[in-house]
Amino acid sequence: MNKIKNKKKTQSFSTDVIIVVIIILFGTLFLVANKINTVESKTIGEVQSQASDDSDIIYSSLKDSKVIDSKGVIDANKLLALNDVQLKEELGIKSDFAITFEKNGKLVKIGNKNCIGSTNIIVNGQICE
Amino acid sequence: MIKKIFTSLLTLFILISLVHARSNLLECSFKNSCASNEKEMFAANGNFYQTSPSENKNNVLSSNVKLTSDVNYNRSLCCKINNVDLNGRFDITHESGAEKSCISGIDPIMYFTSSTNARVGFDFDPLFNKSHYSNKLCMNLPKEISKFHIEIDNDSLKKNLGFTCLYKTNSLVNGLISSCDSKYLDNNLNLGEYKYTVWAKLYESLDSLKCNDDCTSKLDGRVYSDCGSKINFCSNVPPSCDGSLYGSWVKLDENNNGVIDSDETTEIQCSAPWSNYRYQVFTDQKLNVNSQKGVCSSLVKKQYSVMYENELINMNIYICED
Repeated sequence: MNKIKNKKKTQSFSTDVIIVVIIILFGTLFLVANKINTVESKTIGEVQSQASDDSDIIYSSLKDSKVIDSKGVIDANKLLALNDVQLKEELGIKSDFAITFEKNGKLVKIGNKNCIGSTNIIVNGQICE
Repeated sequence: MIKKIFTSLLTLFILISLVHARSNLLECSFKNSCASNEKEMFAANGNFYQTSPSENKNNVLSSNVKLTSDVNYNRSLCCKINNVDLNGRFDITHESGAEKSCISGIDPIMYFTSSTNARVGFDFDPLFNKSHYSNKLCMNLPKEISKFHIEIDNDSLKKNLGFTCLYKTNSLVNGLISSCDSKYLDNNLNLGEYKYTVWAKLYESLDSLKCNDDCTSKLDGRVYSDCGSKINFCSNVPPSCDGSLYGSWVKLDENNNGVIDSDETTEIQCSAPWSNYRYQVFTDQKLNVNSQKGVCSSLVKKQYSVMYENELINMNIYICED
């Protein structure tokens, strides 16, 4: 009789341990997933802020390399010679980017190009490069 | 002395006549009926602006066209060649089938599905399916005329290059037609005119052109690609330069490989080596930016003011958030 009681106690203890382990596992999983989710879903503000910083870095780089001179004048030949992939690496920017020009909402071309930058971006039907 | 004056006056008269003949070789206008020395190109509905000053310019309606005039299509586009000898040997014909060129070898002026529903000829669209059209409007020209050429343009540039305005249309395919000087009121608010202007030009034969070594004609000092038939140096003169002044910049209709400049921003300098291009940087196209499908979840724009071509413009940097 005692043997049966002890056996039942042992079984009950094992079940409790398994339940606790499962709860801990689920808890850990939830925390990890939650953490990943938090990292991936940046707020709109954060995205805009990061993009704004990246744009400023690119703009400063264009001024440093005299693509834009001190009076704000664009040197189209220098701009056309830019390599966006190289520039991204040099500036440590992760996102693709493209540079376009407009006046009163209308496209202004650089040479015969609509844009300079990543081939992932299209301006007025023309893939940037 | 009198003989000298007479000779000088005669020379002057001949020169004036020649210049006049070249600048107005083709003359076309809409009329109720064509004169005996004119040929009817096609007919349109009469309810559109006529050149009479008594008519209200703002009350313009226009119409589709028909190969021949009738009660409804009662305004004819009448054309003549401003040369008595040549005009007698010039004719407008209607030929069936659109797949082939006109019997004269000249490109059709217009394609028609029946006797109406017209499309502007000189097809520039690689996707244009001619099999949809059963009739075509053709022109027979005397041998003294080497070429008949149509240009479609939305500005009056061609007027300065010796082209004659035939008509205006709101669409190149079955569009409404108006005379070249007509205006319409858009919803009774904005005074406007049809988007496309169809220009035509007759080119006199090489002998009449009298080509200089630099591919200009002795008659008017303007560049002609046809000079290439006689002078090797002129063989690569682009047709876009026809009628332009040597050294001037003109809009390039198509490049040397026959590719049409669809956004109409490329210009070529009409002087040797005939390969000096430039691009009009300020366009009429509304800026439209997007990403390759599924690559950027959003494109974030930041704007900076810069100077370009002596104008203050916006430089936009777009960051792709993936």
